[in-house]
Amino acid sequence: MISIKNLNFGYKKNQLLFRDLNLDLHAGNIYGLFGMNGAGKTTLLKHMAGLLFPKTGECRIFEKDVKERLPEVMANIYVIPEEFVLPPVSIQTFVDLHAPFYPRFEYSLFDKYIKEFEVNNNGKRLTTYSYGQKKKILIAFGLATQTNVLLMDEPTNGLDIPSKSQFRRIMASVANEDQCIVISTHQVRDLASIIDNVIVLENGSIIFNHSTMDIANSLSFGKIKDEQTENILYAEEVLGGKAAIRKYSGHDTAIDLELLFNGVIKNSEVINQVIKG
Amino acid sequence: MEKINQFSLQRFLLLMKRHSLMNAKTWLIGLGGISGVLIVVSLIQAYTAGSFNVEALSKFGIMLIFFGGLLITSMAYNEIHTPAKSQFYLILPATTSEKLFSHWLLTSIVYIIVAYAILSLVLGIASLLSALFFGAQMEFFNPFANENFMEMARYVVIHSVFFLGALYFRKNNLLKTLLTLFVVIMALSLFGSFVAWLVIGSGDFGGNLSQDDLNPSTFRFLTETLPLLARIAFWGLMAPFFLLVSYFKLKEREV
Repeated sequence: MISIKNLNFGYKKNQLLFRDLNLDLHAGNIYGLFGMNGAGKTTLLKHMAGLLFPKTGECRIFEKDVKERLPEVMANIYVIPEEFVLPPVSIQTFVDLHAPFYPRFEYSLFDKYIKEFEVNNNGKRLTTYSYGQKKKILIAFGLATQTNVLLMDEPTNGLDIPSKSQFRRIMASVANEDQCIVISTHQVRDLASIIDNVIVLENGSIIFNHSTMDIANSLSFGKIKDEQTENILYAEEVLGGKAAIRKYSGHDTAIDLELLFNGVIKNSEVINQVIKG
Repeated sequence: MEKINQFSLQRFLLLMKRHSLMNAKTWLIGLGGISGVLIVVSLIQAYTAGSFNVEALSKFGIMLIFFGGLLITSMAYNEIHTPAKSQFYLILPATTSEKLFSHWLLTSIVYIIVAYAILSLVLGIASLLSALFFGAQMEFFNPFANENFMEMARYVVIHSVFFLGALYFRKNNLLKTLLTLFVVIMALSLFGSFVAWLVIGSGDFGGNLSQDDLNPSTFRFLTETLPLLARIAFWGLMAPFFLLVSYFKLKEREV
């Protein structure tokens, strides 16, 4: 569905952020795009949305070069950015002005998500809502567009704790076979339960790209004793001992995304080798 | 090409509606301000001179409309120059031509027609008030006069330059466009003077041309052909050229 081939890009002339970056994302998946600050997550999402153009290489969605921003492609992409300024209009006006551009927009779904997020749709201007509320409105709108590609940049930033749970609940319910959702974040714990693929970006390169199923079948996560060293791929001090990533030992464990992310950043080669078998 | 990628009147009208609603407040304040200034000036004139001079007031009003229009045009792409806003505009599923011409139509033809209609109304009200309060004779502004159509057409052509300026310059685009125009006009004038100096010779050129200074074909070229070419360039080529450049500028726009 999204195909990035030999993407080269840099904000400065002689300083490339992405060098020959390749990535294929498929429908029916929710991808978690993780990386440290400045790794290039937002920049990569902007390429997928046709908001930035590669220096060389290409980003295609449904076989079409997304930088052309053709209506048939853009009607199937929605972006929920991390930083945004909404116009000084009411929620209803915002929806009336933008929804008709998206052929599959469902007004009842929008109302449902707005209610679920507990946002008051009382005719106030969007500019009077808090950042978190604005984000919820955007998320509700993005989901109601029912586009095949949904790109979310730090969607849980600015959401309070109950809203994060609401977000996870909603996301778990919307995923379908035709949709490819990419969620970029550095708050890995917020998304552990909803993603089914983990992509880690570091210094403009993809250093890790595996499904949660492959991860769960190859790795174990959990606390270990200090003297334990067998099959340990990565370990770090945590409150009350050590947490480690180990080779799968026959016991299923929940994926600890934060631990996995730290392990991948420190030692991606070994972890990748274990998963690839 | 897929049908959805072709020009759609529905999307075009939606874009116009979106742009109008998002900027309605600014436009209403601007037009309200112009109307207020005109009424106040006409009342002062009626009070001091005892008459209502519709010709002078309409010229003043048209000047305000021109300036207001160029100001509105310079703000037409404010959304695109703020990354936190531009992403919503750029991802809107519409063709570049729909996005470009919806802005262009609103700030050029629609604006000038609405502005002239408001000018007629305001001058009518001002005339009535001047007659009621100061006994001035009532006069009305005729927006359908030929010279007014020419002014409207002139606005639409000049507008295209400021339209490109609005897309090209991120900040202070009205001032930057004016400065650029000034530099270009100066450069063209210098070039013209240089060519005249080459053709006529330094000794004889005093700024005015007479048939005695030149051979007949050169004189005809300078007094007939060149002005004709300039008129063709202004009325026929300028707006399409600047719109074409604006189109590519918008198409290549990134956040």
